Amino acid sequence: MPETRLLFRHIDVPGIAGIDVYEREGGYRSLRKAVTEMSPDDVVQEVMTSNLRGRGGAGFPTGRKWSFLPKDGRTRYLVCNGDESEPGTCKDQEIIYRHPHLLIEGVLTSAYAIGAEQAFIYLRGEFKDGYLTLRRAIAEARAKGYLGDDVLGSGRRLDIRLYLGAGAYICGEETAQLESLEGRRGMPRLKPPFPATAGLYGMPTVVNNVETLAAVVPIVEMGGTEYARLGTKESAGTKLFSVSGNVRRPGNYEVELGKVTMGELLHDLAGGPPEGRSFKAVIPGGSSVPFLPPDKFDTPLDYESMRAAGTMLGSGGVIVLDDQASIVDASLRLMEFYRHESCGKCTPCREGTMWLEQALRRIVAGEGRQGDLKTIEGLIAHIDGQTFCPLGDAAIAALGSALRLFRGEFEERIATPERQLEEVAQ
Amino acid sequence: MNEEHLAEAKSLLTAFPGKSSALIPILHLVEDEFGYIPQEEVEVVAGLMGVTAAYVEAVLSFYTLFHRQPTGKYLIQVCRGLSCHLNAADHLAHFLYEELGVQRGGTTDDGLFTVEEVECLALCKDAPVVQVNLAYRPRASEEQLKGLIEESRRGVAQHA
Amino acid sequence: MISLTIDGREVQVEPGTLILNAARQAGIEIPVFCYHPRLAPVGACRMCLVRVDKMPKLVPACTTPVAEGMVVRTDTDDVLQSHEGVMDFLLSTHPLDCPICDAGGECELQDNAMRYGANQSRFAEPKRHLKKATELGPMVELDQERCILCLRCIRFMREEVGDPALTLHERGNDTVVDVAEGRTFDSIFAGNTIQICPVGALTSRPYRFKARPWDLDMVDSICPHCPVGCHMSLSLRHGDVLRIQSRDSDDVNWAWLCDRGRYGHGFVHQGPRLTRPLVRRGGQLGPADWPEAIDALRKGLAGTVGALGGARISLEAQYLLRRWLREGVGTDHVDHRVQPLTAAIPPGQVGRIDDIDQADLILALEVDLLQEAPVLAIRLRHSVEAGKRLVGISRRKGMLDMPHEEIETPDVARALLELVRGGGALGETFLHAGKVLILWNGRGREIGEAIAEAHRRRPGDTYAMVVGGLGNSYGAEAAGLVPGPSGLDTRGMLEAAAQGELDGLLLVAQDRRDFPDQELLRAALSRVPFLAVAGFLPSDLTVEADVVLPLAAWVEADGHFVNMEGRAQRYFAGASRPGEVWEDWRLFAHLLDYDWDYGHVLEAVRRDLPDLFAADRRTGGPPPHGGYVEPPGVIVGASIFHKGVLPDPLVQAIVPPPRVVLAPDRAEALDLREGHILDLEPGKAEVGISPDLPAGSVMWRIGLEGAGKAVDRLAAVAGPCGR
Repeated sequence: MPETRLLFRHIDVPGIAGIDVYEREGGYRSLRKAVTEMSPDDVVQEVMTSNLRGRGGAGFPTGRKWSFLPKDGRTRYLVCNGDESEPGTCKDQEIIYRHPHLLIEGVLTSAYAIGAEQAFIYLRGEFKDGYLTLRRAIAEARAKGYLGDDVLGSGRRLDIRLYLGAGAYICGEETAQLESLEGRRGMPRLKPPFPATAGLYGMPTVVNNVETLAAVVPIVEMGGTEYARLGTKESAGTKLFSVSGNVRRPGNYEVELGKVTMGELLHDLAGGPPEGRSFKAVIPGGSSVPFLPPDKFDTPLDYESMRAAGTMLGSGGVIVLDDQASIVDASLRLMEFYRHESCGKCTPCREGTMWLEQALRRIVAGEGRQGDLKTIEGLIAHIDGQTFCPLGDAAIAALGSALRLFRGEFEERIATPERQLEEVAQ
Repeated sequence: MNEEHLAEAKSLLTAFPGKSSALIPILHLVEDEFGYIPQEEVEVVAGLMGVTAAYVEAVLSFYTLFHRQPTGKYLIQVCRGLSCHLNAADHLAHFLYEELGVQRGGTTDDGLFTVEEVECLALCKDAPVVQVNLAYRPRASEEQLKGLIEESRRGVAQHA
Repeated sequence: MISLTIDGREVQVEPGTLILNAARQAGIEIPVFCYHPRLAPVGACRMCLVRVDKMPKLVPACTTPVAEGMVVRTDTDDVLQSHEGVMDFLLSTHPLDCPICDAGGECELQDNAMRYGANQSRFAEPKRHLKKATELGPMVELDQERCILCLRCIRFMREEVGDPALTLHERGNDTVVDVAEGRTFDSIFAGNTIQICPVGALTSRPYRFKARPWDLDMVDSICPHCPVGCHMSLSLRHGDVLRIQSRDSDDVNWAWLCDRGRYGHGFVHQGPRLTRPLVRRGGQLGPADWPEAIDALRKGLAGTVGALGGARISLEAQYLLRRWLREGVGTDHVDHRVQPLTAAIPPGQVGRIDDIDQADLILALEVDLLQEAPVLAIRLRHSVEAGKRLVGISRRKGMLDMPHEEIETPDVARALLELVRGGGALGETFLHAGKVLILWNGRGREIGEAIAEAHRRRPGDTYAMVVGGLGNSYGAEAAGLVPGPSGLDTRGMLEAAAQGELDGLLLVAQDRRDFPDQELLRAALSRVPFLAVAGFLPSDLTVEADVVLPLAAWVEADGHFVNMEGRAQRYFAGASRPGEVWEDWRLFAHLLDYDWDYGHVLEAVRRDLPDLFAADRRTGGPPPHGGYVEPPGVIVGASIFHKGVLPDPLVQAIVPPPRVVLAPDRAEALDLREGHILDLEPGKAEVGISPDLPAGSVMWRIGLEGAGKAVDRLAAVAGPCGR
């Protein structure tokens, strides 16, 4: 089962991070085509036709998101969400670090389409080298007239400002990102108003993921109709999947949506489980989605099929656990993450993640009690759907499914007294 | 802040459509220069931004890359994301604690190294991952880190 | 109107109403923590989640507006479980130290736990430990463990005050509320955070451990300390005022008070009071009964006499005082304007405080907002943030504590005249704006005339208010406590007295430090043959008096204060009166030989001053003659603290130390540096230097001990670098 490379078509070409090689491989043709041959609305139309869905995790149709911008003459902004922090997800990182011009071209083309003169690329603080890479690439592109006050002689201004976050997962949530970009604590904003009407500095704003904006480049190049032929009706095009964890060939793989199953991705592309092991489960869409057990590995990788299988496609970050991995340990590790990353704004997320972490830590330490699982399930019910932003639901997705799919592991750990665990460890 | 950073900070005040956006970039300058955000600099930044010190503290304490205590010349951040965890990141961290004689979040007495365990660094395919002063060390191993520590110590010694 | 159904009940509400408030209108209570009616909703605590038909998840009632045909349920199992969940979460980290918590009994966490919580907590993990009983500032104590992070205090300081002195620190479960390292929480509005804290995280240091809420009597009152006239509520126990809280008012103060008002009751119970009349016999001042004191007053205040003050007493007393002076004593020498003021009632149509919300253009003339009328700053900030235009015209900078256009000019009246005659872009705006509100500190006859001109140029929607003066200056002026056609003003009376031309002087609720020229006062008192003092506290004025008449404080009596809008606002007696003090109105009714009770007095006041009690807008005339004129090169600033009664043991901790501030050139000419101490005998003051002052000038605030000396000393050297 081969990859279908659109975004990664040239990623392995030596020197592709430099503008000369990028141009030689056809780079900036989409931007040129958009700016010189197409109206902004034409570009929006192509993206609509392409059925491109947001690649950050939520999968919202990109063209529709763009269409929500009010036509009221106010300044508009495009924010490229490069805060990739979802555990198990490292696809945007590779674009930023290895293929910066693809991202810049996607951002510029999209900014042109939505009528934003100023775009921002928000990078997580840990992407400091990626920031430098992009800064260099932007300078190259500016020198060639791809951005600036008069893009490719069109008389239009398009510009990009880089912005480096400072360490907060929640800033991947779009309104928290806008708060952060405005120099505040990255705490999600109340919606409505949605960013499309009142976003950055109160102006109409579109926030799109790195991979989403990169995908605009091939869409403009090949046309929306052609792009929509890839994948399925509901899940068009290609998508990057980051495969990591207990697997032989971890990596980023670009495949057509709906044409490849989880099993094919894991075995054919990622090389299967480590020697002598077998797969226990995967968390398929970044850590914020339910586990997918091996008996469902024949599920095609697309939004609808994954939902039908009880989980979500999410960001495409596939975390693989083999038969030696402990679901209980992994659950604690994830809860520590969400507890650490909860912004603290709303009660159920702030207190619930802490409480769950404390309970799980006890269980992992062999101090579990009868009734702990019931309490945990009660807490999950009190968080589920009741938090201010999606982080609360994200925090309990994997744990909730772990309790359903692997309850025995938890029960066993609770039944094992601390003393025995110590003996086992020795 | 040194003069160069102060000049850059001032230019940042007008670099964004809204002045408020300059705060985090300016705090990065301070963190780069001092390895943390000293309280006097909180006041300086508050003055530059025209906000209260409490506001600056509110923002900087939200973000993990801003430190309130001095950090070492080399900030070693061991990823403990689930993918790295599955690839024995714990062992790497414990190796560093023993090798350097520090506790989690601690700094060596010579001020050279600070070791932190951090959440997912978004390089899961190359787990286990470490960042040293925010530069990735993919597929990190004990030998590699040992080499890095020795090299750093030598480098500093030579420099001195 | 929008129709919806809540728990099966049909409800009709205004469009834009939040589900929470629609439910409240229908008598259905939805529990909240973070919601506060005077703060923008945030939806953070998740206590108010309700079920709305066709919505996939529960929705927060505090942030979701109603829609036509909406079907809301507040009593379904999932809603009740959600309440239980939030309670369980909040209590999981809460210390449950209710027995020693000041908020016990008026704690929203307790109340909601009783109604919506489970019988038993499932929390079996160790509790967190955070800062407890930490002094945040002179008046505010913080207990981080009790905090439920509703963000009310933080939102109040950020959105209402514009001073994020209190912020969130850290994040997630480590999030705490705190001030900046090394700072104290000393905002003039700090006390509001205590009142809106739903739990005992922020408590009042002066009120700490004083009472249980169920032991308190609550009495409605009005703040006497500035002309805003904030609505407040006294908390009394055994006749003592233990604390003051704000009372919500759409028209005046919304839900807020400044700390001057909130803590300005210390003088009533905590320090020495005048408790019985005193009369001088053979050179000795000694206790007397009321008939003797009244008799001495009648006898002493004869011939050419005058009366000073009266802006701190009730409207009823003001009215009777004026009548007694005219009918009984027969003098026109009367002036309530002891602290610098020209007029308490502006010429033309008098504005209303809620005009601030609607005016398209607001002109602030010489308004030192936080020193004159602090609470207005909150309302004004809202208007500015809503896009209303605020222009400050003044001699010095930094007068308004919010973003605004600042016009600095040595001649404010002239700048205003030019503007109202349509000069410049601002003049155009002035002439064509929908509604214009002028805020004035009430000083300077020429400014008053320019305001009159503004009304002539824009006879329609133009309003003005005097934000300067004391708590009842408007009442004093309306009651006629200003010099008659041939009467002397404050300075005139003091000068006449100093020259031996006055036979007697009555001071009504004044302090020596109210007088900007204390040297002149001293000279006057040393010559005047008869001095009568009516007031609350013993002072060096009462020591010199021939008759001393002890008055009840406002919390001990019934009455009205008239605020800057000309609105007579009723306050009620709550505290027990010490010793033999009389209500202020009783003294002057007695002097008029009226055997009146309060009802009779009120009837007479309502009859003779009906405007102040009417709902209509009021109209002012030209300023009364006279009034204080600053010496050249000197700016005498207002002080919110000295508008009220001082000394006050409770407020002492937040009264700023005395300062004399100089323009940089003036400081240089006098070779004074920041921090120098000026010896003003008996007072001392620290030197400040500020570029906000006009060149060559010096400024201090009312209340400065030895202010007269400062005038002499510094004005004398004003020449070389001054005007």
